[in-house]
Amino acid sequence: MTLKRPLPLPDDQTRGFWEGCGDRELRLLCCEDCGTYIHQPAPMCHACNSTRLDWKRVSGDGALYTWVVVHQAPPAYETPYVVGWIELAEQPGLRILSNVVGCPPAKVQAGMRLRVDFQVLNDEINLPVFRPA
Amino acid sequence: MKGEDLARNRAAITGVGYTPLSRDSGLGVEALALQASLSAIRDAGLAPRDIDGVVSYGVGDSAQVRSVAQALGLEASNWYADLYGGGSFSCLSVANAAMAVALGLCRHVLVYRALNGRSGRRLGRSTSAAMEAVGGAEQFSVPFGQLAPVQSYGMLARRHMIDYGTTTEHFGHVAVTLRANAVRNERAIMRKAITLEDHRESRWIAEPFRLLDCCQETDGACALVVSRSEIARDLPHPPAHVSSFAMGGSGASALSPDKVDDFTTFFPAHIAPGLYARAGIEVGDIDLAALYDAFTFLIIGQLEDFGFCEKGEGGPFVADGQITPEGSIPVGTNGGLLSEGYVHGLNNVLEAVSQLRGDAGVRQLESVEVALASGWGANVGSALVLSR
Ligand SMILES: [Zn+2]
Repeated sequence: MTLKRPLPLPDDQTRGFWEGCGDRELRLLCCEDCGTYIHQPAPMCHACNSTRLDWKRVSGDGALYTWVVVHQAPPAYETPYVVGWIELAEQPGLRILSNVVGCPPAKVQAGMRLRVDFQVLNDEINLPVFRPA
Repeated sequence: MKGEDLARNRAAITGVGYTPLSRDSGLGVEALALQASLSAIRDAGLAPRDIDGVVSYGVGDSAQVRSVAQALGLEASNWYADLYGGGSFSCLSVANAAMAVALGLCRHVLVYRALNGRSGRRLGRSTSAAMEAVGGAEQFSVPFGQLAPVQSYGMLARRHMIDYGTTTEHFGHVAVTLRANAVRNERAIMRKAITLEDHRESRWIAEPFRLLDCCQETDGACALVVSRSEIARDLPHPPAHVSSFAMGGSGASALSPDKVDDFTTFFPAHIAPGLYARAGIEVGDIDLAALYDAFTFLIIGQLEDFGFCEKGEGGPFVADGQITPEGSIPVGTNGGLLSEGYVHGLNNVLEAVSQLRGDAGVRQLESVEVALASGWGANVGSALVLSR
């Protein structure tokens, strides 16, 4: 049996995010009343409690806020790999968890500029990852 | 909001009990729970028929309260609470019992935690990682290989290193100190002393955490009895009074830090002022800190936010020996979760009771009047102030 990384399973709350990734765009929920971006997707804006939220494309530019280099993981995950929080350019504190790829783990640095890229997992799902910009 | 001190010293911990801690208990979780519970009840000078409430916590890996109560043959109960939660619930479970006692519902409440954390269902081993697809919040973590607390807490530690210059050697001082304590603890799983070099040479798990930064997966159970203070005085051991408790937090979440500004302010910063005020103490009155230590860095972060040192000074503080038994605030005198074993935090509460009673044997600190205990998970945590 080949072990594969689990795929994300989109639901009504998150489908817009994964559809965006399918189109090679990073789309996040944005509050129509106050303009706050919300990630991970939630039913309510945490800034103003509005429920009028819609998907909006973001630039995909960001900076690395924190990370770990994973050396021990199940066989489906090829170690070592870098997983961290990337702060997106659109809003202070707007962070997304992802992998930093295209950079040796030892060269990864706090604040390094990153840009989103997409790994094709199957016909429907692209995984958003980040590369040095 | 600091709250009133209506519950101050209305309840006390009067009995404690353990099973042996091991890597393969050979017993089911209910057998472990019963063994520790009976031991705690007898330690309090009581019999099961005296217990009129039971509280426990777990994440689907423990024995259920109702079946433990039935197996012990409890005659009547006013309060059963099976709390679903992890490390942040260790002190919450005791607080829950103390509230039932303080409100007059119960005379003696049993609290236990049992798990086969090594041989059975292992914590932090995401079962989702073996699935084809994951939904819910995990769709944003598991596909990227964030699978376990060692990774999420590792990211908090990394950011603290970036902001304050904390180093992995500081983590090493925590590991070495707690191991030295465990060497003096017959119950501890890890009793071989280690050096900073051993720490530095242990393998990376999720850099910046090495193997020796991680707690010990453990099979075992521990239990305690929370009694009404006025009854507690007539029981065999000096009572450890529950002076105050809290459960809360905000700010940095190890699991979902995407909606917070500050990644390096942890739950104690939010609950400590009220916790101390309700107990009528100041941080300087605390003689022992039984801090939740699933990973070395967690002690550093809590030392700062419980107010034992300045923000950002936790690393140098531990390197200076301040958390050793001779230091300004001894931490993890049992060896903690790092070296005694991981009974999901409740074993650290039991150590605080033991030190307050003065029966910690060769580990006994001089004159412990006030002890702090804590539990931590994601962006929330619970804490207790216990007094002699
Ligand atoms: Zn809004």
